[in-house]
Amino acid sequence: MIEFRSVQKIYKEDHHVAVKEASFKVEKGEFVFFVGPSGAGKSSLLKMIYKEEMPTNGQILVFGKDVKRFKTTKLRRNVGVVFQDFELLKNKTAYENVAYALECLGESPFKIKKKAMTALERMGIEEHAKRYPHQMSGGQQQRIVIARAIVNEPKILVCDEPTGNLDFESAETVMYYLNELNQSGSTILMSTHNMHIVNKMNKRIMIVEDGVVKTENEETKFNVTNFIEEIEHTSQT
Amino acid sequence: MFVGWLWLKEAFLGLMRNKRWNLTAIFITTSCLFLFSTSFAVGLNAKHFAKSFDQKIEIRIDLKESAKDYSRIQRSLEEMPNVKSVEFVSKSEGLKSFKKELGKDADMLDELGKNPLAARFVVKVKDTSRIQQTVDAINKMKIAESVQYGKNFVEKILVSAKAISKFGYICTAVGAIITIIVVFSSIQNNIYQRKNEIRIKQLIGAGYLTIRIPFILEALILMCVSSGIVYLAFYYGFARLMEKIHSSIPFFTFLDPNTVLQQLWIPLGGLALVVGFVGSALSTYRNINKKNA
Repeated sequence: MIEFRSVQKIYKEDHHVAVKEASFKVEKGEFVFFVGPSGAGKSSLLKMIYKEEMPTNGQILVFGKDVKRFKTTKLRRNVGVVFQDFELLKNKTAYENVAYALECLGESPFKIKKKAMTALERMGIEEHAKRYPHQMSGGQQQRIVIARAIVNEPKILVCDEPTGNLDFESAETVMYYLNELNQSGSTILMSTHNMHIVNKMNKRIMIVEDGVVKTENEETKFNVTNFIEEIEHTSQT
Repeated sequence: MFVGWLWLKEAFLGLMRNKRWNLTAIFITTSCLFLFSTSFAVGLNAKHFAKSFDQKIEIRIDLKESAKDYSRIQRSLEEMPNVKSVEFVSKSEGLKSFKKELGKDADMLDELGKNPLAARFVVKVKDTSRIQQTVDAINKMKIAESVQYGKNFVEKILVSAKAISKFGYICTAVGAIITIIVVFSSIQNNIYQRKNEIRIKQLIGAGYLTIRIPFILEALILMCVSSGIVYLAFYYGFARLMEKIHSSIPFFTFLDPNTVLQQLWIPLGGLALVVGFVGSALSTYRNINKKNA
Protein backbone atom coordinates (compact mmCIF):
# COMPACT_ATOMS: atom_id res chain seq x y z
CA MET A 1 0.00 0.00 0.00
CA ILE A 2 2.83 2.40 0.86
CA GLU A 3 6.40 1.94 -0.24
CA PHE A 4 9.43 4.14 0.36
CA ARG A 5 12.33 3.50 -2.04
CA SER A 6 15.64 5.05 -0.94
CA VAL A 7 13.88 8.26 0.05
CA GLN A 8 15.86 11.29 1.11
CA LYS A 9 14.55 14.65 2.25
CA ILE A 10 16.72 17.76 2.41
CA TYR A 11 15.05 21.09 3.17
CA LYS A 12 16.06 23.76 0.69
CA GLU A 13 15.77 26.62 3.16
CA ASP A 14 18.41 25.49 5.64
CA HIS A 15 19.89 22.44 3.82
CA HIS A 16 18.85 20.33 6.80
CA VAL A 17 18.87 16.62 6.01
CA ALA A 18 15.64 15.42 7.64
CA VAL A 19 15.60 11.96 6.10
CA LYS A 20 18.87 10.35 5.01
CA GLU A 21 17.61 6.97 3.95
CA ALA A 22 14.18 5.42 4.13
CA SER A 23 13.25 2.19 2.41
CA PHE A 24 10.28 0.23 3.70
CA LYS A 25 6.88 -1.13 2.83
CA VAL A 26 3.59 -0.88 4.69
CA GLU A 27 0.94 -3.37 3.69
CA LYS A 28 -2.81 -2.79 3.62
CA GLY A 29 -4.40 -3.01 7.07
CA GLU A 30 -1.12 -2.63 8.98
CA PHE A 31 -0.61 -0.46 12.06
CA VAL A 32 2.92 0.91 12.12
CA PHE A 33 4.61 3.01 14.79
CA PHE A 34 7.43 5.37 13.87
CA VAL A 35 9.49 5.77 16.99
CA GLY A 36 12.42 8.05 17.55
CA PRO A 37 13.68 11.15 19.35
CA SER A 38 12.56 14.67 18.42
CA GLY A 39 14.11 15.90 15.19
CA ALA A 40 14.83 12.36 13.99
CA GLY A 41 12.73 12.87 10.85
CA LYS A 42 9.44 11.17 11.80
CA SER A 43 7.20 14.08 10.85
CA SER A 44 9.05 14.65 7.58
CA LEU A 45 8.52 10.98 6.70
CA LEU A 46 4.79 11.20 7.35
CA LYS A 47 4.41 14.55 5.57
CA MET A 48 5.81 13.03 2.40
CA ILE A 49 3.01 10.46 2.36
CA TYR A 50 0.30 13.13 1.97
CA LYS A 51 2.46 15.50 -0.12
CA GLU A 52 2.91 18.16 2.51
CA GLU A 53 6.58 17.73 1.64
CA MET A 54 8.12 16.19 -1.44
CA PRO A 55 11.08 13.78 -1.34
CA THR A 56 14.38 15.23 -2.55
CA ASN A 57 15.53 11.85 -3.84
CA GLY A 58 13.99 8.43 -4.11
CA GLN A 59 10.43 7.37 -4.72
CA ILE A 60 7.30 7.02 -2.60
CA LEU A 61 4.50 4.81 -3.83
CA VAL A 62 1.03 5.14 -2.34
CA PHE A 63 -1.63 2.75 -3.63
CA GLY A 64 1.07 1.60 -6.09
CA LYS A 65 1.43 5.07 -7.64
CA ASP A 66 4.27 7.57 -7.28
CA VAL A 67 3.07 10.41 -5.03
CA LYS A 68 4.62 12.90 -7.45
CA ARG A 69 2.07 11.79 -10.03
CA PHE A 70 -0.83 12.02 -7.60
CA LYS A 71 -2.98 15.12 -7.64
CA THR A 72 -2.65 16.49 -4.09
CA THR A 73 -6.41 16.80 -3.60
CA LYS A 74 -7.06 13.23 -4.78
CA LEU A 75 -4.31 11.81 -2.57
CA ARG A 76 -5.55 13.64 0.52
CA ARG A 77 -9.11 12.42 0.07
CA ASN A 78 -7.67 8.94 0.58
CA VAL A 79 -5.20 9.76 3.34
CA GLY A 80 -6.60 11.08 6.62
CA VAL A 81 -4.27 13.23 8.76
CA VAL A 82 -4.23 13.73 12.53
CA PHE A 83 -1.85 16.06 14.37
CA GLN A 84 -0.75 16.62 17.92
CA ASP A 85 -2.33 20.08 18.05
CA PHE A 86 -6.01 19.58 17.50
CA GLU A 87 -6.74 22.22 14.84
CA LEU A 88 -10.46 22.25 15.59
CA LEU A 89 -12.61 25.22 14.65
CA LYS A 90 -13.51 26.87 17.95
CA ASN A 91 -16.77 28.40 16.71
CA LYS A 92 -18.14 25.06 15.51
CA THR A 93 -19.57 22.16 17.49
CA ALA A 94 -18.06 18.67 17.37
CA TYR A 95 -20.62 17.67 14.75
CA GLU A 96 -20.03 20.84 12.70
CA ASN A 97 -16.26 20.32 12.81
CA VAL A 98 -16.63 16.84 11.36
CA ALA A 99 -19.34 17.87 8.89
CA TYR A 100 -17.23 20.81 7.68
CA ALA A 101 -14.77 18.42 6.03
CA LEU A 102 -17.56 16.93 3.96
CA GLU A 103 -19.09 20.33 3.18
CA CYS A 104 -15.75 21.37 1.66
CA LEU A 105 -15.81 18.26 -0.51
CA GLY A 106 -19.25 19.21 -1.84
CA GLU A 107 -21.25 16.37 -0.24
CA SER A 108 -25.04 16.68 0.01
CA PRO A 109 -26.54 17.68 3.40
CA PHE A 110 -28.15 14.25 3.75
CA LYS A 111 -24.85 12.41 3.26
CA ILE A 112 -23.03 14.86 5.49
CA LYS A 113 -25.39 14.20 8.39
CA LYS A 114 -25.18 10.44 7.99
CA LYS A 115 -21.42 10.24 7.54
CA ALA A 116 -20.57 12.78 10.25
CA MET A 117 -22.71 11.00 12.85
CA THR A 118 -21.19 7.65 11.86
CA ALA A 119 -17.67 9.04 12.29
CA LEU A 120 -18.54 10.48 15.71
CA GLU A 121 -20.07 7.15 16.74
CA ARG A 122 -16.94 5.29 15.64
CA MET A 123 -14.93 7.55 17.92
CA GLY A 124 -17.45 7.13 20.76
CA ILE A 125 -18.26 10.84 21.05
CA GLU A 126 -21.71 11.02 19.45
CA GLU A 127 -23.23 12.23 22.72
CA HIS A 128 -20.90 15.27 22.58
CA ALA A 129 -21.92 16.18 19.02
CA LYS A 130 -23.44 19.51 20.04
CA ARG A 131 -20.60 20.57 22.30
CA TYR A 132 -17.98 23.10 21.37
CA PRO A 133 -14.28 22.16 21.58
CA HIS A 134 -13.67 24.24 24.73
CA GLN A 135 -16.40 22.24 26.49
CA MET A 136 -14.49 18.99 25.95
CA SER A 137 -11.36 17.32 27.29
CA GLY A 138 -8.16 17.01 25.24
CA GLY A 139 -8.83 13.35 24.56
CA GLN A 140 -12.35 14.09 23.33
CA GLN A 141 -11.06 16.89 21.12
CA GLN A 142 -8.47 14.58 19.60
CA ARG A 143 -11.19 12.02 18.90
CA ILE A 144 -13.13 14.71 17.00
CA VAL A 145 -10.01 15.38 14.96
CA ILE A 146 -9.76 11.65 14.19
CA ALA A 147 -13.49 11.55 13.36
CA ARG A 148 -12.92 14.44 10.94
CA ALA A 149 -9.94 12.64 9.41
CA ILE A 150 -11.91 9.43 8.85
CA VAL A 151 -15.27 10.95 7.89
CA ASN A 152 -14.47 10.67 4.20
CA GLU A 153 -13.44 7.04 4.77
CA PRO A 154 -9.78 7.32 3.77
CA LYS A 155 -7.90 4.07 3.32
CA ILE A 156 -4.82 5.37 5.14
CA LEU A 157 -4.66 7.31 8.38
CA VAL A 158 -1.48 9.25 9.17
CA CYS A 159 -1.17 10.29 12.82
CA ASP A 160 1.67 12.61 13.80
CA GLU A 161 2.06 12.42 17.60
CA PRO A 162 -1.71 12.26 18.17
CA THR A 163 -1.31 11.59 21.90
CA GLY A 164 1.46 14.13 22.44
CA ASN A 165 -0.75 16.65 24.26
CA LEU A 166 -2.85 14.11 26.16
CA ASP A 167 -2.70 12.66 29.64
CA PHE A 168 -2.12 8.95 30.06
CA GLU A 169 -5.79 7.99 30.30
CA SER A 170 -6.90 10.10 27.33
CA ALA A 171 -3.99 8.76 25.27
CA GLU A 172 -5.09 5.20 26.00
CA THR A 173 -8.67 5.99 24.95
CA VAL A 174 -7.48 7.55 21.70
CA MET A 175 -5.31 4.48 21.05
CA TYR A 176 -8.27 2.22 21.72
CA TYR A 177 -10.25 3.92 18.97
CA LEU A 178 -7.32 3.99 16.57
CA ASN A 179 -6.94 0.25 17.15
CA GLU A 180 -10.65 -0.19 16.41
CA LEU A 181 -10.21 1.65 13.12
CA ASN A 182 -7.26 -0.56 12.29
CA GLN A 183 -9.29 -3.66 13.11
CA SER A 184 -11.96 -2.50 10.67
CA GLY A 185 -9.39 -2.32 7.87
CA SER A 186 -7.73 1.10 7.95
CA THR A 187 -3.98 1.28 7.47
CA ILE A 188 -2.49 3.43 10.21
CA LEU A 189 0.92 5.06 10.38
CA MET A 190 1.65 6.81 13.64
CA SER A 191 4.65 8.64 15.02
CA THR A 192 5.00 8.82 18.78
CA HIS A 193 7.27 9.38 21.76
CA ASN A 194 4.96 7.45 24.05
CA MET A 195 6.83 4.18 24.61
CA HIS A 196 4.22 2.89 26.99
CA ILE A 197 1.67 2.92 24.18
CA VAL A 198 4.10 1.37 21.73
CA ASN A 199 4.83 -1.46 24.15
CA LYS A 200 1.21 -2.01 25.01
CA MET A 201 -0.14 -2.02 21.45
CA ASN A 202 2.25 -4.66 20.20
CA LYS A 203 2.26 -3.41 16.60
CA ARG A 204 4.97 -3.14 13.98
CA ILE A 205 7.65 -0.61 14.89
CA MET A 206 10.05 1.38 12.76
CA ILE A 207 12.85 3.25 14.42
CA VAL A 208 13.74 6.64 13.04
CA GLU A 209 17.12 7.80 14.20
CA ASP A 210 19.08 10.68 12.74
CA GLY A 211 17.08 10.55 9.49
CA VAL A 212 17.52 6.84 8.96
CA VAL A 213 14.57 4.41 9.15
CA LYS A 214 15.33 0.99 10.60
CA THR A 215 12.72 -1.64 10.02
CA GLU A 216 12.03 -4.15 12.74
CA ASN A 217 12.47 -7.80 11.98
CA GLU A 218 13.44 -10.91 13.92
CA GLU A 219 17.14 -10.09 13.75
CA THR A 220 16.80 -6.55 14.94
CA LYS A 221 14.02 -7.23 17.46
CA PHE A 222 16.49 -7.17 20.32
CA ASN A 223 17.90 -3.81 19.17
CA VAL A 224 14.42 -2.31 18.91
CA THR A 225 13.62 -3.31 22.47
CA ASN A 226 16.88 -1.81 23.61
CA PHE A 227 16.16 1.38 21.70
CA ILE A 228 12.70 1.72 23.24
CA GLU A 229 14.15 1.25 26.71
CA GLU A 230 16.76 3.87 25.92
CA ILE A 231 14.15 6.41 24.83
CA GLU A 232 11.99 5.64 27.86
CA HIS A 233 15.00 6.19 30.11
CA THR A 234 15.85 9.48 28.34
CA SER A 235 12.27 10.77 28.68
CA GLN A 236 12.17 9.84 32.38
CA THR A 237 15.43 11.62 33.16
CA MET B 1 -24.05 22.81 -6.19
CA PHE B 2 -23.57 22.22 -2.47
CA VAL B 3 -20.03 23.51 -2.54
CA GLY B 4 -21.32 26.70 -4.21
CA TRP B 5 -23.53 27.27 -1.18
CA LEU B 6 -20.48 26.83 1.05
CA TRP B 7 -18.55 29.43 -0.99
CA LEU B 8 -21.34 31.97 -0.57
CA LYS B 9 -21.76 31.20 3.12
CA GLU B 10 -18.05 31.61 3.78
CA ALA B 11 -17.89 34.81 1.71
CA PHE B 12 -20.63 36.42 3.82
CA LEU B 13 -19.07 35.11 7.03
CA GLY B 14 -15.78 36.66 5.98
CA LEU B 15 -17.50 40.01 5.40
CA MET B 16 -19.05 39.89 8.85
CA ARG B 17 -15.85 38.84 10.61
CA ASN B 18 -13.71 41.43 8.92
CA LYS B 19 -16.04 44.41 9.39
CA ARG B 20 -13.51 47.17 10.01
CA TRP B 21 -11.31 46.35 7.04
CA ASN B 22 -14.28 45.81 4.79
CA LEU B 23 -15.88 49.13 5.73
CA THR B 24 -12.60 50.89 4.98
CA ALA B 25 -12.43 49.06 1.67
CA ILE B 26 -16.03 50.07 0.84
CA PHE B 27 -15.30 53.71 1.67
CA ILE B 28 -12.17 53.90 -0.48
CA THR B 29 -13.69 51.89 -3.30
CA THR B 30 -16.83 54.04 -3.32
CA SER B 31 -14.71 57.20 -3.55
CA CYS B 32 -12.74 55.75 -6.45
CA LEU B 33 -15.85 54.61 -8.30
CA PHE B 34 -17.53 57.97 -7.69
CA LEU B 35 -14.56 59.73 -9.25
CA PHE B 36 -14.71 57.39 -12.22
CA SER B 37 -18.45 57.91 -12.67
CA THR B 38 -18.06 61.69 -12.50
CA SER B 39 -15.31 61.60 -15.13
CA PHE B 40 -17.44 59.32 -17.26
CA ALA B 41 -20.45 61.66 -17.03
CA VAL B 42 -18.31 64.74 -17.79
CA GLY B 43 -16.83 62.93 -20.82
CA LEU B 44 -20.26 61.93 -22.11
CA ASN B 45 -21.64 65.45 -21.69
CA ALA B 46 -18.60 67.02 -23.33
CA LYS B 47 -19.10 64.79 -26.37
CA HIS B 48 -22.81 65.60 -26.46
CA PHE B 49 -22.14 69.30 -26.12
CA ALA B 50 -19.56 69.26 -28.90
CA LYS B 51 -21.91 67.34 -31.16
CA SER B 52 -24.86 69.66 -30.61
CA PHE B 53 -22.66 72.74 -31.03
CA ASP B 54 -21.09 71.34 -34.16
CA GLN B 55 -24.45 71.50 -35.90
CA LYS B 56 -24.66 75.23 -35.17
CA ILE B 57 -21.18 76.13 -36.34
CA GLU B 58 -21.06 78.40 -39.41
CA ILE B 59 -18.49 80.56 -41.17
CA ARG B 60 -19.35 84.23 -41.59
CA ILE B 61 -17.53 85.94 -44.47
CA ASP B 62 -17.76 89.72 -44.47
CA LEU B 63 -16.91 90.70 -48.00
CA LYS B 64 -14.51 93.46 -49.01
CA GLU B 65 -16.04 96.48 -50.67
CA SER B 66 -14.23 95.50 -53.87
CA ALA B 67 -15.84 92.03 -53.98
CA LYS B 68 -18.99 92.64 -55.95
CA ASP B 69 -19.45 89.55 -58.12
CA TYR B 70 -21.62 87.79 -55.56
CA SER B 71 -22.91 84.98 -57.76
CA ARG B 72 -19.38 83.97 -58.87
CA ILE B 73 -18.18 84.03 -55.27
CA GLN B 74 -21.17 81.95 -54.22
CA ARG B 75 -20.42 79.34 -56.92
CA SER B 76 -16.77 79.19 -55.85
CA LEU B 77 -17.80 78.67 -52.25
CA GLU B 78 -20.34 75.99 -53.16
CA GLU B 79 -17.70 74.09 -55.12
CA MET B 80 -15.48 73.70 -52.04
CA PRO B 81 -15.45 70.07 -50.89
CA ASN B 82 -16.44 70.60 -47.24
CA VAL B 83 -19.17 73.14 -47.86
CA LYS B 84 -22.74 72.05 -47.14
CA SER B 85 -24.65 75.26 -47.86
CA VAL B 86 -24.00 78.89 -48.74
CA GLU B 87 -26.36 81.74 -47.92
CA PHE B 88 -25.93 85.29 -49.15
CA VAL B 89 -26.90 88.21 -46.90
CA SER B 90 -26.86 91.50 -48.76
CA LYS B 91 -25.81 94.77 -47.12
CA SER B 92 -29.43 95.91 -46.79
CA GLU B 93 -30.62 92.58 -45.42
CA GLY B 94 -27.79 92.65 -42.94
CA LEU B 95 -28.70 96.13 -41.81
CA LYS B 96 -32.33 95.15 -41.48
CA SER B 97 -31.62 92.21 -39.20
CA PHE B 98 -29.04 94.19 -37.24
CA LYS B 99 -31.61 96.93 -36.60
CA LYS B 100 -33.99 94.27 -35.46
CA GLU B 101 -31.41 93.01 -32.98
CA LEU B 102 -30.69 96.53 -31.68
CA GLY B 103 -34.39 97.33 -31.25
CA LYS B 104 -34.91 100.86 -29.85
CA ASP B 105 -31.20 101.69 -30.27
CA ALA B 106 -31.46 101.15 -34.05
CA ASP B 107 -31.74 104.91 -34.67
CA MET B 108 -28.07 105.40 -34.07
CA LEU B 109 -27.38 103.45 -37.26
CA ASP B 110 -29.40 106.02 -39.21
CA GLU B 111 -27.26 108.77 -37.75
CA LEU B 112 -24.22 107.23 -39.46
CA GLY B 113 -25.72 108.20 -42.82
CA LYS B 114 -24.65 105.12 -44.70
CA ASN B 115 -24.84 101.34 -44.19
CA PRO B 116 -21.67 100.36 -42.29
CA LEU B 117 -22.19 96.63 -42.73
CA ALA B 118 -20.53 94.53 -45.40
CA ALA B 119 -22.30 92.04 -47.64
CA ARG B 120 -21.93 88.62 -46.08
CA PHE B 121 -21.88 84.95 -46.97
CA VAL B 122 -22.89 82.42 -44.29
CA VAL B 123 -21.32 79.05 -44.99
CA LYS B 124 -22.25 75.78 -43.28
CA VAL B 125 -19.77 72.93 -43.45
CA LYS B 126 -20.20 69.15 -43.64
CA ASP B 127 -17.37 68.25 -41.24
CA THR B 128 -16.50 70.72 -38.50
CA SER B 129 -13.23 68.99 -37.75
CA ARG B 130 -12.00 70.21 -41.21
CA ILE B 131 -13.41 73.73 -40.82
CA GLN B 132 -9.95 75.29 -40.53
CA GLN B 133 -9.02 74.04 -44.03
CA THR B 134 -12.22 75.58 -45.43
CA VAL B 135 -11.49 78.89 -43.71
CA ASP B 136 -7.94 78.85 -45.09
CA ALA B 137 -9.30 78.24 -48.60
CA ILE B 138 -11.72 81.15 -48.21
CA ASN B 139 -8.92 83.43 -47.03
CA LYS B 140 -6.90 82.49 -50.11
CA MET B 141 -9.72 83.82 -52.29
CA LYS B 142 -8.90 87.32 -50.92
CA ILE B 143 -12.50 88.42 -51.00
CA ALA B 144 -13.09 88.71 -47.27
CA GLU B 145 -12.68 91.61 -44.96
CA SER B 146 -12.99 89.11 -42.10
CA VAL B 147 -13.78 85.42 -41.69
CA GLN B 148 -15.32 84.39 -38.38
CA TYR B 149 -16.40 81.06 -37.01
CA GLY B 150 -17.27 79.71 -33.55
CA LYS B 151 -14.91 76.75 -33.66
CA ASN B 152 -12.38 78.28 -31.30
CA PHE B 153 -14.95 78.66 -28.59
CA VAL B 154 -16.17 75.08 -28.95
CA GLU B 155 -12.62 73.80 -29.07
CA LYS B 156 -11.74 75.63 -25.88
CA ILE B 157 -14.74 74.14 -24.11
CA LEU B 158 -13.96 70.69 -25.49
CA VAL B 159 -10.33 70.93 -24.43
CA SER B 160 -11.38 71.97 -20.92
CA ALA B 161 -13.96 69.18 -20.69
CA LYS B 162 -11.44 66.65 -21.99
CA ALA B 163 -8.83 67.89 -19.49
CA ILE B 164 -11.32 67.52 -16.63
CA SER B 165 -12.29 64.10 -17.91
CA LYS B 166 -8.64 63.05 -18.36
CA PHE B 167 -7.73 64.24 -14.88
CA GLY B 168 -10.68 62.29 -13.54
CA TYR B 169 -9.58 59.13 -15.34
CA ILE B 170 -6.01 59.50 -14.03
CA CYS B 171 -7.40 59.91 -10.52
CA THR B 172 -9.60 56.86 -11.17
CA ALA B 173 -6.57 54.81 -12.24
CA VAL B 174 -4.68 55.84 -9.11
CA GLY B 175 -7.82 55.16 -7.07
CA ALA B 176 -8.18 51.74 -8.69
CA ILE B 177 -4.60 50.84 -7.70
CA ILE B 178 -5.25 52.02 -4.14
CA THR B 179 -8.48 50.00 -4.10
CA ILE B 180 -6.66 46.90 -5.31
CA ILE B 181 -4.17 47.35 -2.46
CA VAL B 182 -7.01 47.81 0.05
CA VAL B 183 -8.87 44.74 -1.24
CA PHE B 184 -5.58 42.81 -1.20
CA SER B 185 -4.95 43.75 2.44
CA SER B 186 -8.54 43.12 3.46
CA ILE B 187 -8.45 39.62 1.96
CA GLN B 188 -4.97 39.01 3.40
CA ASN B 189 -6.31 39.85 6.83
CA ASN B 190 -9.23 37.53 6.31
CA ILE B 191 -6.98 34.72 5.12
CA TYR B 192 -4.93 35.12 8.30
CA GLN B 193 -8.09 34.99 10.43
CA ARG B 194 -9.26 31.83 8.65
CA LYS B 195 -5.92 30.05 8.43
CA ASN B 196 -7.27 27.10 10.46
CA GLU B 197 -10.15 26.57 8.04
CA ILE B 198 -7.77 26.83 5.09
CA ARG B 199 -5.42 24.31 6.71
CA ILE B 200 -8.29 21.88 7.30
CA LYS B 201 -9.49 22.28 3.72
CA GLN B 202 -6.00 21.61 2.42
CA LEU B 203 -5.60 18.50 4.57
CA ILE B 204 -8.88 16.92 3.60
CA GLY B 205 -8.20 17.45 -0.10
CA ALA B 206 -10.55 20.33 -0.90
CA GLY B 207 -9.97 21.72 -4.38
CA TYR B 208 -8.00 24.81 -5.39
CA LEU B 209 -11.18 26.77 -6.05
CA THR B 210 -12.98 25.69 -2.87
CA ILE B 211 -10.16 27.21 -0.84
CA ARG B 212 -9.86 30.46 -2.82
CA ILE B 213 -13.29 31.30 -4.23
CA PRO B 214 -14.89 32.40 -0.92
CA PHE B 215 -12.25 35.15 -0.66
CA ILE B 216 -12.75 36.25 -4.25
CA LEU B 217 -16.53 36.23 -3.80
CA GLU B 218 -16.11 38.29 -0.67
CA ALA B 219 -14.21 40.96 -2.61
CA LEU B 220 -16.75 40.91 -5.42
CA ILE B 221 -19.65 41.38 -2.97
CA LEU B 222 -17.75 44.25 -1.42
CA MET B 223 -17.26 45.89 -4.82
CA CYS B 224 -20.91 45.34 -5.76
CA VAL B 225 -21.93 47.22 -2.61
CA SER B 226 -19.58 50.09 -3.48
CA SER B 227 -20.74 50.35 -7.08
CA GLY B 228 -24.36 50.10 -5.90
CA ILE B 229 -23.83 53.07 -3.57
CA VAL B 230 -22.29 55.14 -6.40
CA TYR B 231 -25.06 54.20 -8.83
CA LEU B 232 -27.73 55.16 -6.31
CA ALA B 233 -25.96 58.46 -5.62
CA PHE B 234 -26.02 59.19 -9.36
CA TYR B 235 -29.59 57.97 -9.70
CA TYR B 236 -30.88 60.40 -7.08
CA GLY B 237 -28.32 63.22 -7.33
CA PHE B 238 -27.26 63.56 -10.95
CA ALA B 239 -30.55 64.89 -12.41
CA ARG B 240 -30.80 67.53 -9.67
CA LEU B 241 -27.20 68.61 -10.21
CA MET B 242 -27.77 68.91 -13.97
CA GLU B 243 -30.86 71.05 -13.39
CA LYS B 244 -28.86 73.42 -11.18
CA ILE B 245 -26.00 73.72 -13.67
CA HIS B 246 -28.42 74.22 -16.55
CA SER B 247 -30.20 77.05 -14.75
CA SER B 248 -26.90 78.91 -14.28
CA ILE B 249 -25.54 78.27 -17.82
CA PRO B 250 -28.65 77.79 -19.99
CA PHE B 251 -26.75 77.74 -23.34
CA PHE B 252 -25.22 74.42 -22.34
CA THR B 253 -27.24 71.47 -23.49
CA PHE B 254 -26.70 68.43 -21.28
CA LEU B 255 -27.47 64.81 -21.91
CA ASP B 256 -30.62 63.45 -20.39
CA PRO B 257 -29.64 62.04 -16.92
CA ASN B 258 -31.36 58.74 -17.77
CA THR B 259 -29.13 58.35 -20.82
CA VAL B 260 -26.06 58.93 -18.64
CA LEU B 261 -27.31 56.36 -16.08
CA GLN B 262 -28.02 53.82 -18.82
CA GLN B 263 -24.53 54.21 -20.21
CA LEU B 264 -22.85 54.33 -16.78
CA TRP B 265 -23.88 51.07 -15.13
CA ILE B 266 -21.90 48.70 -17.35
CA PRO B 267 -18.50 50.46 -17.09
CA LEU B 268 -19.11 51.18 -13.41
CA GLY B 269 -20.00 47.59 -12.56
CA GLY B 270 -17.25 46.28 -14.84
CA LEU B 271 -14.57 48.40 -13.23
CA ALA B 272 -15.76 47.43 -9.73
CA LEU B 273 -15.70 43.72 -10.53
CA VAL B 274 -12.31 43.86 -12.27
CA VAL B 275 -10.71 45.75 -9.36
CA GLY B 276 -12.28 43.36 -6.82
CA PHE B 277 -11.22 40.30 -8.76
CA VAL B 278 -7.65 41.48 -9.32
CA GLY B 279 -7.17 42.49 -5.66
CA SER B 280 -8.58 39.30 -4.21
CA ALA B 281 -6.98 36.96 -6.77
CA LEU B 282 -3.57 38.51 -6.11
CA SER B 283 -4.12 38.22 -2.37
CA THR B 284 -5.14 34.55 -2.45
CA TYR B 285 -2.28 33.78 -4.85
CA ARG B 286 0.23 35.45 -2.57
CA ASN B 287 -1.11 34.38 0.82
CA ILE B 288 -2.42 30.85 0.40
CA ASN B 289 0.20 28.16 0.17
CA LYS B 290 -0.10 26.79 -3.36
CA LYS B 291 1.89 23.66 -2.52
CA ASN B 292 -0.97 22.29 -0.47
CA ALA B 293 -3.81 22.78 -2.95
